[in-house]
Amino acid sequence: MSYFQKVMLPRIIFTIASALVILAYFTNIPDLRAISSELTSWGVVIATVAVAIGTFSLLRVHWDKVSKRSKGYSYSAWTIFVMLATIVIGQAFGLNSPAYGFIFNYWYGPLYSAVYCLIAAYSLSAAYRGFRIKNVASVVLTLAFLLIMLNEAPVVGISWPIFGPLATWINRVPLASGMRVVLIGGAIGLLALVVRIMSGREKTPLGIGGET
Amino acid sequence: MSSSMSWLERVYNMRRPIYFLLIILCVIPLVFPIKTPVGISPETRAVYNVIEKLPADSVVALDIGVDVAMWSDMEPAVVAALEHIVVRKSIKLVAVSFYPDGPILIERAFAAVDMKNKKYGVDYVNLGYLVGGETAIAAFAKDIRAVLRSDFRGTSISDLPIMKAVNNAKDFSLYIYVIQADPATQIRQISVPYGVRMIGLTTAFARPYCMPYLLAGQISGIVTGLRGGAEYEYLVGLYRFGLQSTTTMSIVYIATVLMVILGNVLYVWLRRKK
Amino acid sequence: MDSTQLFGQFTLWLLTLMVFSILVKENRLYRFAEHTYVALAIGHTLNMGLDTLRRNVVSPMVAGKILLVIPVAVGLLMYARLYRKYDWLARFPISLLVGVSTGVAVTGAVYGQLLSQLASTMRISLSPTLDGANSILILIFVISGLVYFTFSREHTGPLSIPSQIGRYVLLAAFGAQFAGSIALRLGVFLSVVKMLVEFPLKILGVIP
Repeated sequence: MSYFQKVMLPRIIFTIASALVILAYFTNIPDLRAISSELTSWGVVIATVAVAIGTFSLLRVHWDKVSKRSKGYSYSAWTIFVMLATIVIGQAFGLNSPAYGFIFNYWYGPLYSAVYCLIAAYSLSAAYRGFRIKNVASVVLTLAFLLIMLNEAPVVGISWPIFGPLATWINRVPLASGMRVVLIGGAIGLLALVVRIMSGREKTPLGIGGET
Repeated sequence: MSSSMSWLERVYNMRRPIYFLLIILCVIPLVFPIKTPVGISPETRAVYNVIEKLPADSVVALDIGVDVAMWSDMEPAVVAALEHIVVRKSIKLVAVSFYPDGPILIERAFAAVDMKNKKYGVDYVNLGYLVGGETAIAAFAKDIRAVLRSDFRGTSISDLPIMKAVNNAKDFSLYIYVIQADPATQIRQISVPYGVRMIGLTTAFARPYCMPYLLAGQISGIVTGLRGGAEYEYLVGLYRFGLQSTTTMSIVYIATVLMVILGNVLYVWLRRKK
Repeated sequence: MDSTQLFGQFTLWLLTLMVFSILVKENRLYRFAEHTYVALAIGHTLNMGLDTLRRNVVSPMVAGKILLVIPVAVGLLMYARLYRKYDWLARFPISLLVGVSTGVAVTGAVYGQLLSQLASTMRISLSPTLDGANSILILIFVISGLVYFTFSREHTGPLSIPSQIGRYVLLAAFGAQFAGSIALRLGVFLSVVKMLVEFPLKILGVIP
């Protein structure tokens, strides 16, 4: 019973839910479509209710550090304080309030942008160091990179009109073909994943690990 | 001989000077402000034309799918689109987001446009954030009222005049998706099943993902990144951050290309010396 | 600029400088700013989630949509993950959610991704124009790319040339993609640097 509850039952739920949604799409049975529609709405509600799980997990990790006075615990204490303050201000004053707008526009947004754009500096350094023309493959990789990069510069397209059509060709032929391969492969992989989960060969997406 | 070799090797191995060089290159146009022109790409022109040809009774959807970190890149295109659609063409716009940062960014975009006599709730609205990823998109497309009861400002959907004739994705004449990485979910759940025309305001990172859909006709046009935003601002007649950044963009992107070439020249030079 | 805006701009400027200090060396100021960012991000995500919960779940339930209590109860089971002894209970909402979302994704992927992309690839034109040549090239490149991704057979004999072509096509795609990634981050970088430079100049009255 325990194995059935913990492993088989989740698999059965997954199979029924996904099969209902897929069958409803490809058949014209109104009742099936109504059930699928209701299930999809329920999925949104479940995801909404579960929104706090990441917060609780992170709180627990940082609280453990603070209570055990581990290395860097002062940063964890600060993290907990800021997290709770943000939540309290957001819930007390509302997300449209000037107070929350201040936090979003002057602290959260700019910090996120700053952390995000640091990678620009590292990427430039990586491009300087990484693009080495040693063989045909590296020539293709580097040339594609250089041509697209040059075309992004507004003054280049105006000054040397050849870059525009060249970059358009690269975008619409080799780039689009390569990404098309990735898309088609991704779609086939998704179908394969569904079959693997239904047949029990893949358990990790259902949160199952370790049991046989 | 050995001191010039070690100097070259130092340049070859440099890391921090690159970071500071990048900062200096971004500062130069602030000190010497020069306006540089920008050419209009066929994809941006296509977006402009699609919006120009929209009938007056259309309702357009705007889906913000980027985080606040990328907003400085996308804001020029979004603000230009709002100016074009809501103010110039007087077409109704329904904004929604499936990303947590979306609703506040939508409010920011509304605030950045001089809406003149356009009224919130009548001519444009912000429906807020829906949790659930692709499931939420599918549910939203099927029946908006099944998953959304009120807009981001707390007004009930039934009290919003703009939503009177909007029940599902089929009621949109155009779906504008501000794309951070991959438009697949919106293509799969909105464009293909409901036959809704779609255009993308994409980051430069997302353009490769959009190209196959553009070629297959599932996306009618894309405005890419800060450069695309500058192009669209030019077409709409705005002079804002996009057009103001064309010189900086040119300097920084050309510098990136020159750095890669320099790296290769030094690589070949140092290998020959060894 | 009023005092609130001035305070906001100043703290924004200071926090950004702290983040950029890592370009010199890893230091405590950067770690402080990084932890602040993580905390704000988690707090903001939860705030948006709670707002959505209130507007689209709690309010309708209070207004009479009692049936919503079923998905709410199922969603609450997700929190069993936090307790090792009961974490298996979380598999039920996860299975339902993953089942619905993969069903939704598969239905969309079949037409939206697989069939439409294959159809577009096979739409070739034999006219002696650039568009005609491009359509044939696209067909060759896509088939070659798919051959390259087939790992159940060795890429020898008749598969070697298409697989090589596929490899170069994918390399060109990744080179262009990396350019796009750098362009995006450089775009954000230049707006951040602009703010870092302009704020002190505005305070000193050098620029309006």
